[in-house]
Amino acid sequence: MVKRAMILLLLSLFWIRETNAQDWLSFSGYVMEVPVYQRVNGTLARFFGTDRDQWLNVARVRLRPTVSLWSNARVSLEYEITSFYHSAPLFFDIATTRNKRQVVDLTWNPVNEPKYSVIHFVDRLHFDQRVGFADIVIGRQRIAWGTGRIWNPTDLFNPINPTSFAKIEKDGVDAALTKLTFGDFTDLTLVYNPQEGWKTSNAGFRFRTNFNEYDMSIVGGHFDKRVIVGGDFAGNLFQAGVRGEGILSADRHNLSSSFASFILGIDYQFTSKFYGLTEYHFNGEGTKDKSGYDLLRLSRGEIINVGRDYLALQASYLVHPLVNSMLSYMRNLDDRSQFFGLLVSCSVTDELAVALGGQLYGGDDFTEFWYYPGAVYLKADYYF
Amino acid sequence: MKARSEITMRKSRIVGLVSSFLFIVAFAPAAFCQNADAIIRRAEDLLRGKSSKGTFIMRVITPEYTREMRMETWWVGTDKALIVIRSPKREAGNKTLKIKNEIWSYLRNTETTIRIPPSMMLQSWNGSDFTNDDLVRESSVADDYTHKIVSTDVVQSEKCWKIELIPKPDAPVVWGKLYYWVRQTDNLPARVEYYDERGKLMRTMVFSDYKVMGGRKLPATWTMINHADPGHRTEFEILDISFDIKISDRVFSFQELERGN
Repeated sequence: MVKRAMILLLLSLFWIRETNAQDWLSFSGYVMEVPVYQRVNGTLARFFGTDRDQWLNVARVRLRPTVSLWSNARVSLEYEITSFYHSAPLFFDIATTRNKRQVVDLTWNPVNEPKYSVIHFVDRLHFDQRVGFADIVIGRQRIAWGTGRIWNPTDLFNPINPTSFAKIEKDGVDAALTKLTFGDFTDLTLVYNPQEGWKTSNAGFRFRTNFNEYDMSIVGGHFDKRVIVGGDFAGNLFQAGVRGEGILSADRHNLSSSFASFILGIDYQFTSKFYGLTEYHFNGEGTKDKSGYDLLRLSRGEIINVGRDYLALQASYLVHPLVNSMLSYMRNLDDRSQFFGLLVSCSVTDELAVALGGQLYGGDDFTEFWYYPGAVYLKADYYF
Repeated sequence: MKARSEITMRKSRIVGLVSSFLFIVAFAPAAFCQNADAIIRRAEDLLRGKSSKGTFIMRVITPEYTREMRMETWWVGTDKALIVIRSPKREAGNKTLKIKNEIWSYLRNTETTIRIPPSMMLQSWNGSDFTNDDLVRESSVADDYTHKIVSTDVVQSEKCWKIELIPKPDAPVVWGKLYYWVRQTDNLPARVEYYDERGKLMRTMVFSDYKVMGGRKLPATWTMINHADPGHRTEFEILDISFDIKISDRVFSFQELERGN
């Protein structure tokens, strides 16, 4: 019933937009088409009884209406329809739509065939009210914590896997958020993320400020029954940009499971066309021993990496004002498995872009990136 | 006695003439420089006011393609600015916040805020012939250069002062020299040429379409011609603008930067 009401609401917004466009309603969105060819490694294909050569297609429509209600109040929705075809069973699901921070199920599958599915889901649906120096946001929203470009240990809500290419946004989380502003660059964010039980609910804060041309923040809270403290910074080192963020995570009932996770990164624009960045990630939740990798949580999208130490390099070169190329490299420094990515994107018109990408993974048997399939994909997106 | 007094008078005239000449030689360049400085400051003030809010269209024109971007801007002096892109849809909602020498970009589609490091200052701003540095260093035209009127000239049928701008020692500027033409009738800028440190002409800004907007006369079209890429230019067309209005400090904050559309 709730889902039908959502569809009716969307259709109504479309109709209102077309027939009576007013300032109180803004509407945008995009369509994305991603055909993919991927090749799974032989051992895994045999073990899971799947084809080595696989064809996939992800088609996404994302609708983003925003309705202004009264002074400084609005409701924003991002509604997505994803159709997903895969020629064989998959080890990693690249069209995952839910995460553990979403307490209300706003996903439904009108088509759910073995090789083809259509998924509708609400990725953002929040009410936003500004009152004096406070912003209050209630509902499904994106909470952007952290300064890292590749990894975000302080993003306790919706981290995204850096190898993901089918989705550009981080998943929405169900939360009540208050941001109190004390100056141009100083604010305190308080977040409550409900779960099914009060004790399992998550809550946290982030205090952010700017000092001597450095943006910095401290974070803390209670997430997944663990106490978290940490912080981040971003600033300049001579002409380069530097950033870092990290957390300490502890279970009060099992202190031996405590871990730290942090990143340090630097980026530099070498010429007006050539840009590079590097980031080191220490993942205290992971392990150096490949036999201890938590592949189940990885395949479910609950964690992003299973190892301990990582290095990422990224370089982009502007071939033409409308054509950009980007080369990515990531290495698990412990098991020495690695990932290469290449993406060439072209802006065809103001609203239409096409891209050709490839991903190549390497490593010894049962190392982290050995599990990932190599892929070649096309991506076309059109904004409206 | 008469003759003596005539000699004395002649002497005093000569002394007077010499004194006047010495005075002119000694102080005229300073007065001229001060004048040039005042002209530049007045021209910049007329363009920007103490604060402004406006809507612009930016056109990037090349031999192969033309791209158009509509944006809203808020400025307080040259220290604070917020620029919000309204179209095309792909870029709509992207924002640039400038506070003194710092710049942040907010990307609406990925909902991320990026701090722009100094090395990125020479990167093109939104694909245009302007760089991030043009946004940050805007105050430098008045403060970071010495100004000298070198000649009078005619630009678009208007008599102009041609003013040479040389960077002050240790000024954080990227140009070796600027020539700035200011119209004598209304003190508005007519043209600016940007030279690199080797004296090569890199860019030319041409102001045109002078009309009254926001209660003052100003050029409604600003065209930056990129000599490094022949055929490339960026046009700014002012659609509407208000000057010297009260703009809340909150506009120039992280809170506003990250607040969606």
